[in-house]
Amino acid sequence: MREKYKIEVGKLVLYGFFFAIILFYVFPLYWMFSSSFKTAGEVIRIPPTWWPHLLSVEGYIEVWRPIWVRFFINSFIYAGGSVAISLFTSSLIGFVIVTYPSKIGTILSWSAICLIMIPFTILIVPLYLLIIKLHLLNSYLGMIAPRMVYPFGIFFIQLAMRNIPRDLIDAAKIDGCTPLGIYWRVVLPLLGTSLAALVTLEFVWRWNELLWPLIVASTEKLFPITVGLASLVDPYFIEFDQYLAACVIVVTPILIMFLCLQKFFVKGIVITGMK
Amino acid sequence: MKNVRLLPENKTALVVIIMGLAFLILFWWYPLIQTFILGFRSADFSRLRESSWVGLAQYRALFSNKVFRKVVLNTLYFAALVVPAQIIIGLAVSTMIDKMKNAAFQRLGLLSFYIPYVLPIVAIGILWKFLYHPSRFGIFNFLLSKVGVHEIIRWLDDPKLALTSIGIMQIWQRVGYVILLYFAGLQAIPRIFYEAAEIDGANAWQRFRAITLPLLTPATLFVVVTSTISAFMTFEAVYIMTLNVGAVTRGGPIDSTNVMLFYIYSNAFGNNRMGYASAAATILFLMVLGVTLLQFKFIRQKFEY
Repeated sequence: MREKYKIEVGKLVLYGFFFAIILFYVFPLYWMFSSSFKTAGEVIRIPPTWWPHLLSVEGYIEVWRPIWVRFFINSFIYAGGSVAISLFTSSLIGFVIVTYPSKIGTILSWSAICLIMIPFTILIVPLYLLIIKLHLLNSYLGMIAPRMVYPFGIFFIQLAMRNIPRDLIDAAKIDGCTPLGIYWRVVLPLLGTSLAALVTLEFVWRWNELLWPLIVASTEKLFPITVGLASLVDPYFIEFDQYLAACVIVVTPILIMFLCLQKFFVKGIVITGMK
Repeated sequence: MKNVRLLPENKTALVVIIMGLAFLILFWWYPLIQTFILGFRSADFSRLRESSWVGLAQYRALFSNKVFRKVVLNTLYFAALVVPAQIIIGLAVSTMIDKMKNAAFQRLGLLSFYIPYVLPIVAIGILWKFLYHPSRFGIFNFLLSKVGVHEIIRWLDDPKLALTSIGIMQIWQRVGYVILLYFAGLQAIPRIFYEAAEIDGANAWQRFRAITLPLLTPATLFVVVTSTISAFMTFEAVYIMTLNVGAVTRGGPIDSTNVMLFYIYSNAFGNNRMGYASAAATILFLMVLGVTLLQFKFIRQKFEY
């Protein structure tokens, strides 16, 4: 009986310790939420209050500008647009490379693999010049353009295609199905969950991105929410409760989206790791 | 390869592949090559047409520039700080989570750690700027005063401390990613190994060293490489933490937080020195390439057991 008691205590300690760590870890987020509901005065009170003694939304009211709606829409356009397009390009290209092998297909495949090793942000200077040359500066298309084909996506789809039985595709071919038909009717449904995982991951990354949209967008009307928030940073003119309220506003949508799509996001991360 | 035809058998497929190639060339290969080329030119943005070939002049300018040398050191220091911390903390936490038998607790645990990872750095940066505030209401200073440290620490203003403070924030944000990967790796280890070892009399630490760590090697390799590359490519954290009124090109207190991508950005878009910035970008690219190639070398070695 003694043994069992020891094990229970050990477990309790482990769980307890673990919860303590989680609490400390999550504390900054808690602080952000709770402080955003304080008054401007209480936020900078010394000693700090652990929860708002006087609940106030004045931070939110004062920091909100109608253009924020625009910021969110822009984020959605950038993230949604790049992901929607790259979803189709990656899967279509991957599908075609595997199903209709050819030497140039192999070149494309190897090209994509090499490009995976190059981080996108290394290329910002020439990309900027290119966007200008194409007269796409300060436009949605300019923002989305370099993101339309995602080398890792191509690689990933090729791997995923291995799980699709060759016979299925051959049968469709024999039935006279065009490549697009096969793609649409056979391959896409089968690739479903893997694609969803990849897409969720990419969407989150695009939504949170700052550097490239910052470079492309020169007027406020085009700012996604990240750039919009950054343009707010001006420590001499707004109060901290407003700052934190702004953070909460920015963070909440992605948090909600994420909680709903958790499963896919986690799967996406694990998949990219297991390449 | 001999039996593979040059062009795909289907016209649509051909079109798709050609378009794919065209896109990759336009938006990836061409900019990559341009980065190299611009590094050899004096390309001031306003006079791009008159840019001339200057050979290695930009590189010589870079290496003789005190700020650039500091920038490289900062970048390396940042990586050296952030990567091991993420790995050690990540491994420790994921092991703990793995030991929990309750699946709901596991989910909760994982969730708490990777939520910061999915939030925009901009928001997190502002939050931590507040936490780091050099006054008694900056939470960290407040907590320190509770344990007897009464001087106000200027987390983000002290040149010796600023980069480390940003590093701590980055660790906080990114450790969730590492935990997730390690957790997946841990879950993939068959329990039988542990049971057998326990029967043989191995204690927890020995089991960890002999079974867990070696089997996690692929995961560790991947984590080290991706974290290092991300650390080299840090921009947004530094940008947001050192952003003050109108001072976009600042590098933090005496350039102590200036890291490579930030330096490239400020030179290209702040000072319009595209050639100079491209040379720096090329160097950054080589650093990243170096890390990636090391990865390949390790994969070859380690997997012969």
